[in-house]
Amino acid sequence: MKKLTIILLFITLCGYAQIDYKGLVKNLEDITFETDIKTHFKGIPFKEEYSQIEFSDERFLRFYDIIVDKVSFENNWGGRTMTMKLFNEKSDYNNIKTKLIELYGEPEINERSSSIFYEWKTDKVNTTLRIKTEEGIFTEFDELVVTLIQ
Amino acid sequence: MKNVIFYIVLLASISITSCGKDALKYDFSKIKSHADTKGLIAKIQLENEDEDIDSTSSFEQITIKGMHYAGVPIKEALITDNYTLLTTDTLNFSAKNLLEAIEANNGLINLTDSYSDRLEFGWKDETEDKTLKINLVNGKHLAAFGDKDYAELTINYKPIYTIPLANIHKEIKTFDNQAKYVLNTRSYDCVYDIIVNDIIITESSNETEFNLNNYIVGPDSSIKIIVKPRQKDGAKAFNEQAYFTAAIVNNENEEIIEAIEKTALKGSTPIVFQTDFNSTLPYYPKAWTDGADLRNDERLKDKVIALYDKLGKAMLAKDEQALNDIFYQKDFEMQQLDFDTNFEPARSEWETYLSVQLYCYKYTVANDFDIEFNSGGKLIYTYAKDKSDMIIFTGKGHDFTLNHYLYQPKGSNELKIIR
Amino acid sequence: MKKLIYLITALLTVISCDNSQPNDNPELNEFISKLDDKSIEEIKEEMNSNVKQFESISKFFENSFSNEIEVIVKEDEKYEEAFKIDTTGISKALYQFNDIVFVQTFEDYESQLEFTKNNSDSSKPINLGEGVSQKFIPNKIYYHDGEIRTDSIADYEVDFTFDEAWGKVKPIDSIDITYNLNYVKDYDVVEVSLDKPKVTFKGGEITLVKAEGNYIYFTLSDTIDSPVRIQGYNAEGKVLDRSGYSNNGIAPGEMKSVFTEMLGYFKKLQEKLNDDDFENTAEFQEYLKNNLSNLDFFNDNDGIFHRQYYYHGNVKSIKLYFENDSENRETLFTARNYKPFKETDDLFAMETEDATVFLNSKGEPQITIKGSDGLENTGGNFYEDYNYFYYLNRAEKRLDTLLVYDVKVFNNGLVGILPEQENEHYTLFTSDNKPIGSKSYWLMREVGDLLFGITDDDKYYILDENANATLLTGVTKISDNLSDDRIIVSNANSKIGFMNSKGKMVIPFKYSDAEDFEDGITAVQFNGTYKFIDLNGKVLFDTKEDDIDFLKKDDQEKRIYSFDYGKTSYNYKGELIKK
Repeated sequence: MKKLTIILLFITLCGYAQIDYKGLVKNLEDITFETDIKTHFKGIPFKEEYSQIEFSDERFLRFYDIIVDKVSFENNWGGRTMTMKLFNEKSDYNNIKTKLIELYGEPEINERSSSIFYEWKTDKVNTTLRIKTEEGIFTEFDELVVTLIQ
Repeated sequence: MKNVIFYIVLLASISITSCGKDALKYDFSKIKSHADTKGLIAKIQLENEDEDIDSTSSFEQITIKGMHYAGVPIKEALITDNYTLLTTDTLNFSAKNLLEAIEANNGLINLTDSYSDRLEFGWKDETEDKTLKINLVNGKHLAAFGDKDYAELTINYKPIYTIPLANIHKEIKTFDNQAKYVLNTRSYDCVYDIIVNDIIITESSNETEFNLNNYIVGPDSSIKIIVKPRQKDGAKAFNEQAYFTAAIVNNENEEIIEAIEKTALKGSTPIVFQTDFNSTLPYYPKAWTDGADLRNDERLKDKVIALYDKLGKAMLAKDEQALNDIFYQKDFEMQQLDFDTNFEPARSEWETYLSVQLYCYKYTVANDFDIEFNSGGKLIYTYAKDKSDMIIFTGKGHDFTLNHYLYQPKGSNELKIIR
Repeated sequence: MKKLIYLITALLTVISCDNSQPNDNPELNEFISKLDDKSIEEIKEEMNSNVKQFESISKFFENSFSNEIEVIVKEDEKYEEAFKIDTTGISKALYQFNDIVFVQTFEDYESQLEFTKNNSDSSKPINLGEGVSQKFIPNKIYYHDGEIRTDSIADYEVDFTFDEAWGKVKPIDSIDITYNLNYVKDYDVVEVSLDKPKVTFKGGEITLVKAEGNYIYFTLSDTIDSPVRIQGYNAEGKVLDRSGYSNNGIAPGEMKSVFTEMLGYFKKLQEKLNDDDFENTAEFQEYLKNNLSNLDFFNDNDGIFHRQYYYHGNVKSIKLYFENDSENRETLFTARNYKPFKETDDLFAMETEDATVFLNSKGEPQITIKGSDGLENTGGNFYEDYNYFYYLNRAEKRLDTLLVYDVKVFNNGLVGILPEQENEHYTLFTSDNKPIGSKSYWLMREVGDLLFGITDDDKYYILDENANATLLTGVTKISDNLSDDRIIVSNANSKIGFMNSKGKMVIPFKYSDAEDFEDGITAVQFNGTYKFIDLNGKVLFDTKEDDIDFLKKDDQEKRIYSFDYGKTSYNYKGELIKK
């Protein structure tokens, strides 16, 4: 302990120390159907309502390195759904879309007047990305739903 | 993890203190009461005579250099009689630092409210309530705090009570296996009386959840449920869809201790369900176990009146010690049976009594009441007939009533409140 | 403490708004005389603590008022409408006083009155546009003891926001007031701009001194009357929204801000006080009178008035509107006491510095109780303060504290008391605090002068002043309003009838919908359609309509009966309104 103290003192001397939240940052892409949510997110505050559990501290939530505003988990007969709310950054949208195409290939696209649904289906996981658009151009995220099939 | 974070913050504040441009002299994180705050302002006033600071003012804005909260520099402190508002500067990630400094001490916390350009967090503990508002200036959101963001920390210091009744949580023992026995019911078109360990805990109720710990005094308990027709619209019999089912569950681990299977209710006579259940607890209260059998006590009615009269007198005399003695055993046992170490229940009950003392100028005790004998006559409950409750406290536009389970310890001649 | 801050503010307003020399200023003298009963030590102490507060106030104001000249980008310009005479509100304003009440309170042997409009959502008179001025002139005060006062009352202020002093302590029943409206009918417009910076007008001069960015500075000869309105224009001739202004007798640059000036003055006073330069209060007051006039700020000798304006846009010219001709309209109304004095032998309470004095209707002190303050009369001999209820025991000349949950004094003199709790029954008492009547009621309601007691079994009784209860057969609901001597009541079948103010059913339960009477008639629904009826329930005619909107009002706040979403309407007399 003493050694650690000295090292830390050295590091922080004459400079600002930031709490290293790295240990608490959770990569949501690592979650599987088997993951015990409460254990996995231990230490991070949550809200629980009925069978749904929600985390909303974006400092700790990442999906392929993209900051996630809120994530909620719910288990049902089909498997586990992970619903993410993202910040309305166009670059986030481009990155997520590129990443998902890289992982699962071209999506099924369902375009409407003011929204677009992208859907990727495999036998293990279904991913739906819904965005709002204006004349076909991204304006904001609706939600990103990942269903992990049992 | 928490410890490491704490160390880092501690070190950070040491390093800042030793080499920052303005020594961090006045630490608001060490302040624990309004009186402490006044002390700190007096100190600031003494050390900054050129500045115009009034330690007696009830609305004082201070912008002296050297103020900080756990190492995070504070640009402006507003001290009022009701709260202290600290605003950080807009340099060097001050908002982020302040949030992290508080979280290091108080644990991570959920956002209470969040707008696009302002985030709010709240903490509550025994001595203070804190609200932290982070104003995002050039940070986009919480995950990407900017270096110009600043924070406003509002602290409300709470009064400190020394009376044991307000500090019960400090006496509560916790255990590995602290069972919380709960009766859950489901039913249609019926009401029920519930009797636990020969204590009538409710009559003609249709609520669905009952905590049982308060009525447990040993590892073996009994429960009796008398299910009756609801008698709605003059009906005397059960409706044909009427049913009843119940289970005693240990809420700690969701384990079902005892279950009453779903039963269709027929006819018009009450149906009685009766069972024993294992009520093992790591703690058993003394409760009424050494109580005297009151069934043949001829002076019982007078004793009941005498007890409530004593309570009324203590309240009007603002006799805090007497009130403590009247309620302590009940409150302690109930909170211990809940294994609840939270400070709030005892504090809020004590503050209720304080407000009764403040607002009420009269009490009235029921003289005409029915006495119900429980647990072999050791525990009694009374039903006022001439008044709405056993004791009524009255103030101008204020009223407050009480009614409790009572017992008489062996060797004593006075009743005591126990539940 | 409070008084001196008041004095400082008062000084500020008096001095900065008035051009006359302060030592001849009667208002200033009056303010200075308020210090009469203070010792010089007290003044010193107050000055010390208040200068500090004043300092922080002035800092705050200086920051918020300090305007800087800036060039405003086109997109950020804000505009307003060009000045025009707007008389649309005038006739409405003249008819707004049909239900004006005042609250009369008594303090230190003086009456305080505050007025309220009781007939609309807003308690204050209608806001009229620029170019309109309104005045209230009291004509007659009717005191409860029969005195009618007409002389030297014209200056009493009819204020709808604050308590104002209204002379002697005596209960007032009502006041006759003249409402005078004056509005600009015709006006002259004078424009000054950089192209034409000097204009002569009515023997004086208007001169544009400087126009830069959002700032314009011009002067008017003192001989010219104040304009009704001043508007700034940008290069395209659009009217700009004003962001700030300053009007002064002294040219800008020659003076510091009002606050700095005043603060400097107060600091000088404080220094003198702390140096014990004054022997007593009188000496201090003398100094105050003589030295205020020495301040540069108050000496205006250049004969012109300086105006500086700031706009939400770049200002190029100014138009000044001067009144040329005006029109006067007048109306008379009566304001009544909201809580009138009832019995002639009642007493009312007046707070003085160290006691509460109970006076009779002639304003003569009857009982004085030392030490008590903040008492409010709740009716008859009953009073309350923040913590307690009281009964004024006149025989024993003392206040008895009533340790009960609630006390309600009703118009007929009966008193309902909840002894212990909110959810129990009212016990009845006489105005002398003696129990009366055998029944208790879980609800007591008052409509007009009628008192209703409602028992556990939902029966309505009328209670007289001796608590004699008369059962109202069939009544299950009573409206809160008494209008045209009629109260709406309904029975168990939700049929509506009308009762008069004596409690007698005058129109039996037969309508399925009805509103209160107004001007002797109302519309009621029975047999499917709405019919107009008179006060005795006689059908005047059938509208053949089945849908009504009662909420409409005409210009004079009279009811309009509007049917079928406004397709057919009748006025308050029941006459068809032609489209």
